[in-house]
Amino acid sequence: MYLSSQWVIARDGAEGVNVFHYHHGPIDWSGVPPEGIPYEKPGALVAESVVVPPPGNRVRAYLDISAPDDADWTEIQHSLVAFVAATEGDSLPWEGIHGRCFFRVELEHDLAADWRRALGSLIEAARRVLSASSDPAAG
Amino acid sequence: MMRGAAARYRELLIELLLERTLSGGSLPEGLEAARAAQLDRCWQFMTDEEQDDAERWWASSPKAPARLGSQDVKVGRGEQLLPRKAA
Repeated sequence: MYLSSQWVIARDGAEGVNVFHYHHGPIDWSGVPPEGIPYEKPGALVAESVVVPPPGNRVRAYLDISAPDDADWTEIQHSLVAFVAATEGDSLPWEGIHGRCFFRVELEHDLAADWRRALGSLIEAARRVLSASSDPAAG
Repeated sequence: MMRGAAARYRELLIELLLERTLSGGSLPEGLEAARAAQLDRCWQFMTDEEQDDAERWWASSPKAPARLGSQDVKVGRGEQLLPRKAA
């Protein structure tokens, strides 16, 4: 799967986090993400959460996650926590692979000043969409 | 490379951040105290240098561009397009 959480701002100033959830279908993904995923092979969009409707909004920040379609949030969060903890607070973007998951984070300068809050918002939005996709009743 | 307590301390900070975000800002008092106790335990096993590194890391502002130079893209269900492109 590819899960992209994007903090965007529209020309009229409307701002929010949109999330896009893609699936890759049957694929050999026993270890690290297969080559080309997510940027050459994002998969097929299966769900989204849109706060500020695209297209044409400026992307101020994003968190990209790639993991097997069957990965649950517990596995992703475990790897994500290890990924963030291993960053050294230096220049963005941050990119890395932990477990079966790939992560990339990029923030505009104004959001990077409080990267903890920005990243928390991006992660929480991603979690909600994946949880809703896994259990539609959980919404 | 970080080992043991120093790595776990950073992970606990991130986990606490996520728990606070999920709960809308703050945790119930008991849970907050439990997390603080976990952090304290790690802290006690860290060297002075590891403690300094952890504080510097958490307070850091990483270098970032003024603008990312990207705009979002409308993607329909089933489409295989990235959700953003260069502006």
